[in-house]
Amino acid sequence: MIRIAAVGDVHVGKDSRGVLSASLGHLREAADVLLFAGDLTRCGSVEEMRVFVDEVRDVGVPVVAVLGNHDHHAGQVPEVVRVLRDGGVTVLEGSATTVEAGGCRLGIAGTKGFGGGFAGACGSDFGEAEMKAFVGHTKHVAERLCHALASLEGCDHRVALMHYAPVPDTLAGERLEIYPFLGSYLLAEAVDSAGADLVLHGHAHAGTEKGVTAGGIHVRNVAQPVIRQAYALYCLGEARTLVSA
Amino acid sequence: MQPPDQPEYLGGWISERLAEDGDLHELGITVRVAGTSVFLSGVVGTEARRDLVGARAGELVPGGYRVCNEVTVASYAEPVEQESLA
Repeated sequence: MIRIAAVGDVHVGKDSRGVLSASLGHLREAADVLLFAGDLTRCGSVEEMRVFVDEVRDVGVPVVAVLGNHDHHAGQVPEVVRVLRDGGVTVLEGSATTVEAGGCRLGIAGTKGFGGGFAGACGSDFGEAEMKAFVGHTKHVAERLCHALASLEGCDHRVALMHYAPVPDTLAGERLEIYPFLGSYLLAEAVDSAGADLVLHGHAHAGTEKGVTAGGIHVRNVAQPVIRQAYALYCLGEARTLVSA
Repeated sequence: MQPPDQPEYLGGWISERLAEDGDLHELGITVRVAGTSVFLSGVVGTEARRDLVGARAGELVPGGYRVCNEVTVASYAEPVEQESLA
């Protein structure tokens, strides 16, 4: 059994020091790993990311994150990734990592993801260069996610961590008109193709927590305004009984 | 930057300004214009940020409009239950 704490869209700013850390004091008693589903900061500056790292520094469990669109805004992605890694946070983008706890090996594959829409109502890799670049980026990150998940075969459990939504289920509550900017079915297709036990995403602040991919994989929208708490807790696997000789 | 002449575009224009404002970058604020009232709703991270959203909207609206700031502040309570996905 492994216990996962997850949250997205905490949007830490220079003015929010102490807001998140005040609720993380007991996390190590409830979870084995803390996952962030993007939008760690308000506008992606190095100063804001330093505040974020200070907020999670003493959490006491491994911290794994993907970036969100807000973390890209300042154009300082290499710099903020360096701040995260120097602070002990594992950052995923088309890559994977593993965490061992509770007698289990958890594999986590992550990407920011991107938009494009959902089957029957999505953009196509066609027409203007700008449209091709938009849809092409989603195809690219979905393909890399698929490979990252596939590299985790052999783990007891696998989680796909992303910022954008892979299914429309967890967007319920958002305006239909903006669905193509909130996620893409290509992300779900990648997860169903490679396999996973759980997909975690954020980005859709007005959405719904629970959904499922076409292949039957649990999807949870952990955007902070959706879960309305410091983090959500999920448990994968059965509790193991220890038998002493 | 001047607000649009036609009131039908006012809500969208304020939303864009709140998203692009370098002190805010709040993309989750819903702006609804009803008559001469401008209603703001959504969730932000701190009380200071909620007040800044309201203040900035107040600077943006043309004379004669009233801003109703219904934005709330996120709760960072610790969870009381976990979901088992075994």
